[in-house]
Amino acid sequence: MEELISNLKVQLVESLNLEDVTPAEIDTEAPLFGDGGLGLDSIDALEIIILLEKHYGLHIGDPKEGKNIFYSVRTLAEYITANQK
Amino acid sequence: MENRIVYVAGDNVVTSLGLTTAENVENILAEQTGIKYYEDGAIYPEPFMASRIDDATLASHPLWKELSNYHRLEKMMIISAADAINRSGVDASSSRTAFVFSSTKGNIDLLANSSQLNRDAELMEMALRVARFFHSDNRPYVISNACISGVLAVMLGQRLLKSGLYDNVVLIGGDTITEFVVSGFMSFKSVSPNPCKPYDKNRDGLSMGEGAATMVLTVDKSLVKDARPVMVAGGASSNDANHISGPSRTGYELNLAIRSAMDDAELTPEQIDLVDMHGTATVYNDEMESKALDLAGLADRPLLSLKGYFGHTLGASGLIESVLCVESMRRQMQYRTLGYSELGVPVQVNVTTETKPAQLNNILKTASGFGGCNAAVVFSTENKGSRQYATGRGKITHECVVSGKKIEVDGKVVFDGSSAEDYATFIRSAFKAISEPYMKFSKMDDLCKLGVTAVEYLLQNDDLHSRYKEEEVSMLLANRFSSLETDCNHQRIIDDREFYQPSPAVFVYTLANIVMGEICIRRKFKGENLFIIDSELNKERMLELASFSLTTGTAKAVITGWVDFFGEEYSAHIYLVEDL
Repeated sequence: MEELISNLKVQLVESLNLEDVTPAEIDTEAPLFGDGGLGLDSIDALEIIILLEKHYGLHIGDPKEGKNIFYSVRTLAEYITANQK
Repeated sequence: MENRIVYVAGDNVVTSLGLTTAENVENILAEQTGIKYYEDGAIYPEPFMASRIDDATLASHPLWKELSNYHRLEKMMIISAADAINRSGVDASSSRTAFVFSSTKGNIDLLANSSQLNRDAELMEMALRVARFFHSDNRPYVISNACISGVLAVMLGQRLLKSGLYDNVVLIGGDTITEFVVSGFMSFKSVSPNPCKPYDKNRDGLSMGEGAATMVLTVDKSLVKDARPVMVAGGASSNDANHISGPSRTGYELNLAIRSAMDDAELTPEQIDLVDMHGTATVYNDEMESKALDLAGLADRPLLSLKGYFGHTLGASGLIESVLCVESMRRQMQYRTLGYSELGVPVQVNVTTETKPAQLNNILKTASGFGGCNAAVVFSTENKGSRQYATGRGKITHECVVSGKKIEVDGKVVFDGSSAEDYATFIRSAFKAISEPYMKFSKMDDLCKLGVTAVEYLLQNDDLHSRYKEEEVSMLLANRFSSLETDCNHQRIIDDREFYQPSPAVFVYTLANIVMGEICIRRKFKGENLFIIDSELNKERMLELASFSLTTGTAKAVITGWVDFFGEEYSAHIYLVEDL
């Protein structure tokens, strides 16, 4: 799990162009979206869907499904662990 | 000065429903849709719904044989414009006749699988090729401002005539269904698997469409054959200053544009007989529009979306739908909002549910698009609008030039990045030198970084907010290459068939006006927006357009000028113009 979490942080920084944030600075538990945390938006959510498909072979059809999954790096990692074959 | 009245003298619409205004209207009155199911791997790997123009239909047009040297979109535009100009009796080749184009992506299909840029993919080249077909020597105005381009064309046409710069204006809009745009909208997950359902409870996205339209405007009433001539009575635009792809949460800014357009037309909400909005049938667009209507006092007026007939035709949509509104006024027939059955927006609006005769003297047409832009125009058979759009208003109070790796403000070098190894390093350090951390900056494409940084320096000692309200600052920018740098990036992504995964974060920047959206978000400016394409910085033209904006009375300051980026070449030259 810890390895997955640190990989995810690197992938998020890379695919979301988070130039001013290093992977180590991302708080595993903090909300990714909205005020506070990383302040990601709806375009980032779509990019995370692509990230999940590209790196983990997971398919989320409806961005609305992603709301709980995308809450934090931790929830993302839990979703990947639970769904990856 | 006399009040110059702007009449619609001729028009045409080319969509899947026909090659003339009349053919389109007959199909709309019969409630026929042109949206169909397609399996076409050249456009998208999976099946999709869209409204496409059959090439065999285009080829049946008498002009077709003369057009073998033109690209498909240009053929559509020429077929459309030839008919409209012919009906209007306007001399297209006259020095008193301007051409105004509206297109989001022009001949973008030329980028596919091509290593070298075909110059015809530049929007100005497309415009010149079409204008020359009609023997026009005037430098065309080319609007590329996302999905509001067509409505802005009407707005600009009215201003060019009212100011006395021209006596006739030919407005031509067009966009086509390409792999480029379909893959992009699919990446946004904003395309419905069914024909779109505007304002409906079950709406689940837009339908893509293609088309062209022409509207010929004139101040010469003797050219107008209609018994009840239709006039362009008002126009305005605004920016949400909220998000580059998501619409405003409140609808306040579209409401600003609507109110300004009604003011321009000297009409009250009660006098508006029908509102034809963008109505794309995405969840958030339609929701925002309903809120804007409410704020503008128009929630009870009949509300129409035409997207169910021929889909979302991008930069052509505002013009196609404007022509169809004008025709509905001539026929005094109200169209049904095809695809709508049960209200699904938060405000109780009055969506049209039947095709029927109706008294239509004043129609408000709106559009909203990526970059947070909104526009509204008013067509009227009664009210002329008496505002004069003057040239020569406003003075340049500051200017900022970015060229090479230096930034100058008012003639003094304020940042020297000569030691930076490349553009990316230069622009990043220039921005960081003047601004507190701003998360959005690193996500922007090169064009947006350039524009946002230039404005940051332009306004470093004066953020304008102490003197002006947010809606009093207009944005009016131009460039040559539109968003071609990012267009090529998006094209490279979709040319990769092994991992076909178009990126929404790239696609959203394939619109040149996003740079204005980013500036408006960063600086909280909500005034008018207009992005035009030109061959080079034409200061005189930009100042004329800025003057029009200042004449509206809404704008007190205009940020205008040039911001261009392609390949190794980039430059910005931005002026602050104030109504002193």
